[in-house]
Amino acid sequence: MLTLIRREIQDNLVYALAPCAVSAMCIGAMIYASFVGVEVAMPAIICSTLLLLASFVGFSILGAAQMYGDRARRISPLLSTLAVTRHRILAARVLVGILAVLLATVPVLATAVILLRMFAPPLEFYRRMVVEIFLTAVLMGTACYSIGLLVGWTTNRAWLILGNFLLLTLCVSLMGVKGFGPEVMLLLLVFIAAVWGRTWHKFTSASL
Amino acid sequence: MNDSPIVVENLVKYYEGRCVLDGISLAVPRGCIYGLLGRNGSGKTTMIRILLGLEPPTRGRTVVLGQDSMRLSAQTHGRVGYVAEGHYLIQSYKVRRLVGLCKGLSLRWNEEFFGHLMEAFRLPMDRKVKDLSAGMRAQLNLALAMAIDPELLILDDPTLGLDTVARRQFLELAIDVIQRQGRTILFSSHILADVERIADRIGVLVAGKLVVDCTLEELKSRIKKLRVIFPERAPEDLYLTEIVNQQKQGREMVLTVANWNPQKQAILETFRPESCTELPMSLEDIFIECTRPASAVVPQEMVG
Amino acid sequence: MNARRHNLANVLATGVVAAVLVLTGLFWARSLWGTLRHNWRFHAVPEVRVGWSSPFLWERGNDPNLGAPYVLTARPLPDAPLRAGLGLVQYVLSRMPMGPESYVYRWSLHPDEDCLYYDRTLGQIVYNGTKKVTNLDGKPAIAHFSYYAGPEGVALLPDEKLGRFIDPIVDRFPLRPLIVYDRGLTRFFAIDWTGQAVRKGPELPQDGRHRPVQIGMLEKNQQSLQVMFVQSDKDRSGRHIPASNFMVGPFPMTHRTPVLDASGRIDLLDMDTLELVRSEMHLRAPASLYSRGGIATPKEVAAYSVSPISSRPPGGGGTWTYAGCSVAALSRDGTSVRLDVFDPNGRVVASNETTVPQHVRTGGGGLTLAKLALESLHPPIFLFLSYFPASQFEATAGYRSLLLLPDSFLAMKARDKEGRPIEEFFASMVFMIPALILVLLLAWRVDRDGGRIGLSKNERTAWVAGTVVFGLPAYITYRLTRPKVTPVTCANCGMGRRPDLEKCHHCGSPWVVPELVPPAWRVIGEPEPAEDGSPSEAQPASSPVQ
Repeated sequence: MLTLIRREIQDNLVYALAPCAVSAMCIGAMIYASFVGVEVAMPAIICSTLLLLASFVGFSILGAAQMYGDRARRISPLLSTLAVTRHRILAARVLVGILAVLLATVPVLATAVILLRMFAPPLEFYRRMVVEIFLTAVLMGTACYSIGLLVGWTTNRAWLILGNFLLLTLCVSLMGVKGFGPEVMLLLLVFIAAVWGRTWHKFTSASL
Repeated sequence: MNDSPIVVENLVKYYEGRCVLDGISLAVPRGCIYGLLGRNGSGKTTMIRILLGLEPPTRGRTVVLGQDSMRLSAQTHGRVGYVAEGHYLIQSYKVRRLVGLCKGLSLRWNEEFFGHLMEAFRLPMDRKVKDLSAGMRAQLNLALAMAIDPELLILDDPTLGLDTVARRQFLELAIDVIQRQGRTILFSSHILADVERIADRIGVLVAGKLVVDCTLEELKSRIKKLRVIFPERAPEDLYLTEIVNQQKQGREMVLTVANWNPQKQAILETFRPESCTELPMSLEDIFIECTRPASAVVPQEMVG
Repeated sequence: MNARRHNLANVLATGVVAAVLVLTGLFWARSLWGTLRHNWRFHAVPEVRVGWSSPFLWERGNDPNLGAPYVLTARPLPDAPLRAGLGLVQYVLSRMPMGPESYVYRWSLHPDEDCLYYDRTLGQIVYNGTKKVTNLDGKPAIAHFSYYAGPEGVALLPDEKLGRFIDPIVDRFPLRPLIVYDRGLTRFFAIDWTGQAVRKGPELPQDGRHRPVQIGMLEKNQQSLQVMFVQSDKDRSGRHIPASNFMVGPFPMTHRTPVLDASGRIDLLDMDTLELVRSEMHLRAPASLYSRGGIATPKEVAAYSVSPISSRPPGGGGTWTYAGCSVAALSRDGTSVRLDVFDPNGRVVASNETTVPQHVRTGGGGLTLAKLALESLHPPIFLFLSYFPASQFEATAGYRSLLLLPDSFLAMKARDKEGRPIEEFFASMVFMIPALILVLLLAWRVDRDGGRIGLSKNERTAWVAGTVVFGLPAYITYRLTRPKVTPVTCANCGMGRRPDLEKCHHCGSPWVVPELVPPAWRVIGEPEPAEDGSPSEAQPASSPVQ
C-alpha cells in the first residue's frame, strides 16, 4: 500500500502542491491583515474567499488528473497484474487526495486559530464559527476532489473539462445554498460517500 | 479438487454486439506449457485479459489459481506473471523507477535472477521506458514477469519485437521456468516454430470456438493430410466427416481430415483410390489448415 | 460482495449523486426565476408611501395649517429574496456578531471599542468597555474595564450571586439602559452599567400568549427592505418649520419601546416599570401575486421593520411623547410591501400596500407558468411532502431549501387554510398534476427501455415505482446505471437480445451465433494427469476421442 501511495504522490505532486500554494497565499493574506489592521480586513476576507474557491478547483483537478492520467498512461492495467487489487489502487489514490486536502486546509485553520487568539477578543462565537467553516471547507474540498475522481475516468477531454466544471460549480454552490454548519456538513458527507461509491463501482468494473 | 491453475467454463465475450468468444471451455493442467493459437482477432488476447480480470466476461467464468478472475486477490495476482501484447509499461517512467515499483508491489522478488536477466538483456536502468526500442521493452516486460518467481506465467505474444538471439534466450528461460516443479505457462504466439519447440499442449481458436485442445503429439496424430489419386475424376463427395480441408484437381485430391480412424479409412477405400499418401505436417501446416476458411465443410449435424 | 448487492450499491450511490446535483441545479433555476421576477417587478412597481399632511388627528385636531408633510416610504431592495433567504447569507448574518441569533450584541474589530455579549458558560451578560483616563505622567490613555450582569445585579467580576440568565434577548440599541428579556425567567430586566444596578419587571403570565422574540429594534432581514422617513421643513402654507417635531426610529425619545411577540403582535414596554402593555398593533403581510396577506407572525414575512414614532410640540423644545408605530413588512416572495401606521392606542391610521400594474399582472401569467414548470421537475415525493409542514416554514426558507419547496403553489395553497382540511388537501394536490404527468412519461420510457434491454419484471417495477416517486433524478440514475449492452439480433425471433443472458428475454430461445461459422470438427484430447499422479477432471468433450 505504501508503494502505491508513494507512486500516487510522485506522479501527481504538481497537482497536490498547487492547492497548498494557494493556501499558503491565503495564510499570507490573513497574517498581513491581522498585523496591518482592521482597514484591510474586508479585502483580506475577500482575498481568502477567492483563494479558497481556487483551492477547490485545484482539488478537483487533482482528482481528475489522477484518474485521467491513469487511463491515458495505462497505469492500472500494469498495476492490476501485480500483487495489488483495484480496491487498493483506488484506496491509495483517495488517501493521497484526502492528504492533499488536509495539507492545504489544516495550516489555514491553525493560522486562523493562532491569529484569533492573538488579536481577537476571547469570544466563543469565533471558535464555533472557525470550526464550522473549517470542517465545511474540508468536506467541500473533499467533495470537489471526489468529483474530479468521478469525472476523470474518461478518455473524452471535452467531458473531462466541461463536466468537471459543471459538477464542480453545482457542488460548490451548495455552500451558498446552505451556508456552513451541521446541515451542509451532513449533506456533503452523504454526497462524498455516494460519489466514492459510484467511482469505486466504475473503476472496479471497467475494462482496463 | 481441480488442480488446474487455469479453468475456463463456457466463456462468451461480445464486443459491441460482435461475438468474439462463443462458449470456450478448457483447463490448463499444472506444469503444462499451453500454446494458445489463433489468427488475428480470434480472441486470444481477449481470453487472456479475461483470465487476468482486466476484462469482464459477457457470460461464463474463468478461474485462475482457484479464484474467479473477477475477484482475484492481491496474493493471487502476485503469483501470476504476465507479459502483455504491446507491453503494458508506464512509458513516462525510467526503467529504474518502474523496476522499483514492481519490486515494491511483488510478493516475492528474485533480485539475483532479475539482475542476471537485466545483464543478459543489457537494459539501461536510467533510460525512460518510452525511449527503449520495442524489443527492449519486450525484454524488460519479460524480466519483470519472471523476477517475481511466478507460479503461473501468462504470455501474450511475448517474443513480438525480439530478435533471434533474444527469442532463443526467452525460450530457454521458459524451459528453465517450467523445469521448476509446479510452474505452468500459458502463452500465445504467432511464431509457431517456437510453440512447437516448447509447448506440451495446444489450443486453437477458430470462429469463437476452441477447435483444438490436446497435446502436440495427439494433434499431429489425429490430423492427417492425405494425397489421394483416383483412377478417374476425384469424386464430388467422399461422405467423410470432419474434413478440415479439401482440394481437388482432376484425379488428385489433397484431403486434410481430423480424427483420422479406421472407419474413415474404410470409407475412403470404397472409392477405390489409386494411391493414398500421407503428407507430413508441422504445427504450422496444421494451423494453416485448421484456420483456413472452410471451402467444403460437412454440415454440423453429420458430426458423430 | 455479490453482483446484486454490488449493483444496488451502485444504484443508490448514483441516485444520491444525481439527486444532489439535480436538486441543486433546480434550486438555482428557481432562484434565478425568483430574482428575475422580483427585479422585473422592482422596476415596474412603485414604492409604497404613507403620508401625513397634518399632525395626527388625535393630537392637534384637524387643522391643515399646523404641522408639516411627513412621508414614510417602503420598498423591497433589488435581489431581495436572495438577500433575505440564501443559506450563506443567513449563516453569516445570524452567526456574525450583532446578528439576530448571535449572543454578541456589540462588537468591533478595533480593540478600543466596546464589546457586549452573553457568556453562556457564566450565564451572565458581559460588558467590556473603555474609558479615557490620564496617566500619572499626565498623558491620556485608554483604560479597559469589564462588568458582569446577572438577574440579581452587576459586578466588576463574575459572581454566582449575580444569578444566571437562561435564554436572553436584548434590545440592541446602544444608548439606553440595556433592556433584556429572558425567555427562561419570563421577565424583563433593565441593566444600568453606570449605576451598576439591575431592575426587574414582573413575571409574564405563562398562558402561551406572551412570547417576546425581539425588543426595541424590531427588524428582520433589513438588507431586503428599505424604509425611509422624509420630513419637509415647510408646512402646507409654505411656512418654514425650524425644528423637527417628528421622529421615526428606535431612538430613545420616549420611555416606551416596542416588543414583538411570536404571534406577530406588537406590544409596548414601559421602560420605567418594565411592564408590558398589550396593544392592537400587529404585523401584517401584504397581498402578492401568490398570497392573500393579512395578519402574520414574524416567521411568515420575509422582512419587517417596526419603528416607534415620537413627537413633540412644534417649534423645538418640549418633551417627546410616544406617537405610535410604523410597521413595514415584505411578502414571502419579496415582491410586495405593506406599510401601516398605528396611533398610540394601536389603531391603524394610515395604511398602504404594493399596487401591481396591470401589465405586470399579465406578465405574471408567463412567470407563473414558468414557476409551475420548474416545480414540476422537482421529485414528486418532496413536492407532496411540502404540503404538511407548509405553515411551519419560515418565510425565507424557500431560498435555502433543496428538498422541500416551501414556496411552491402546493405549499401556498396549504397555508391558505380556508375551507375544510380535506378540500384544501385536494385543492393543493391539483398543483401536482403537471409533475405527475411528467413522471408518468418518464416512467413509461423507463419501462419501455427496461423491456428492451431485458430487465426482469421485478426490476422494471422497481424502476418505474422509483421514477414515479423521485422523478427526474431517478430517471437520470436509471440512464446512468442501466446495463450498457449492445443488443444482438436473436436468430429465433429477430428481436434484440442481451448477450449476457443465457436465453433470449423475448422468446426464451438459447444462443445461436449465426455470423460465426466454426468448423464441424474438433480435436479435443483428455487432460494430462497432474505431476503428482492424481487424476484431473475430464475435459468437456465436443467430439469423440479416437
